[in-house]
Amino acid sequence: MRQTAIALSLIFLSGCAAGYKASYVTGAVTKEVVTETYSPYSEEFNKKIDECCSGDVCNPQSSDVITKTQLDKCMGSKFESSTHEKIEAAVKLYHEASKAFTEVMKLVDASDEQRKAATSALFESALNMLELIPGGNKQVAKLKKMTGR
Amino acid sequence: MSVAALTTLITSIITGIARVSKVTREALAQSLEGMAEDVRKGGLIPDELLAKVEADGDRLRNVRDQLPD
Repeated sequence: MRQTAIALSLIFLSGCAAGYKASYVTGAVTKEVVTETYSPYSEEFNKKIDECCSGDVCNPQSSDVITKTQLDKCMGSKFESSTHEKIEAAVKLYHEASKAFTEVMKLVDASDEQRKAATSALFESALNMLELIPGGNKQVAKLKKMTGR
Repeated sequence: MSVAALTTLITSIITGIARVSKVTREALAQSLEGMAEDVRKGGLIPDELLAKVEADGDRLRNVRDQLPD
C-alpha cells in the first residue's frame, strides 16, 4: 500500500512538473532572455571594431588605412560582417515571429492550429537565432530539452 | 505496520499532495497570468534587440564601406 501511495504521489508530481514545463517553455523565450544572450556578444563585437580600427586605420583619409579584407581578417569569423548579417536576418525573423505570435494570442477566436503554428514558428526562429549568436548554445540546449526537439 | 501508522502515512501523503498541488496551481496561475500580460503589452516582441542588432550591423557596415577594397 505504501508503494502504491508513493507511486501515485510520483505520478501526481510528474503531472505538476509537466504543467510547470509548459509554462516555463513559453516563458523562456522572452525578450529579456534573448536580449541578455545577445548583449555580451554585442559588447565584444563593438570592442573588436574599436580594436581593429585603433590607430586611425579605419579612416579613409589616413595613410595607414586598411582594406576591407584586412578588416574582415581582424574581426575574425566570429564577428565579420557576413556573420553579423546572418544574425541580423535571424533576429528579424524572430521579431516577425514574435509579432505574429502576439497577434494570434490576442485573438479570442484563434484556432488551436493557429496558436500551435505561431508558437512553433516562434520557437523555431528563436532556436535559429540563438544558434547563430556566440554563447547562445546554452539557451539552445535548454530550449531543445524543454521542447523535446 | 499498525493501522494507526498506516493511517498517519496516508494522511501525510494526502496532505503533502494537497500542499504541492496548491503551490503548483498558484505558481502556474501566476506564471500564466504574467505571460498573458506580457502578450497583451507586446512584451514578447524584442524591439530593443532588433534595434541593437541593427545598430551594431550599421556601425560595422559604415566603417567597412569607407575602406578600400
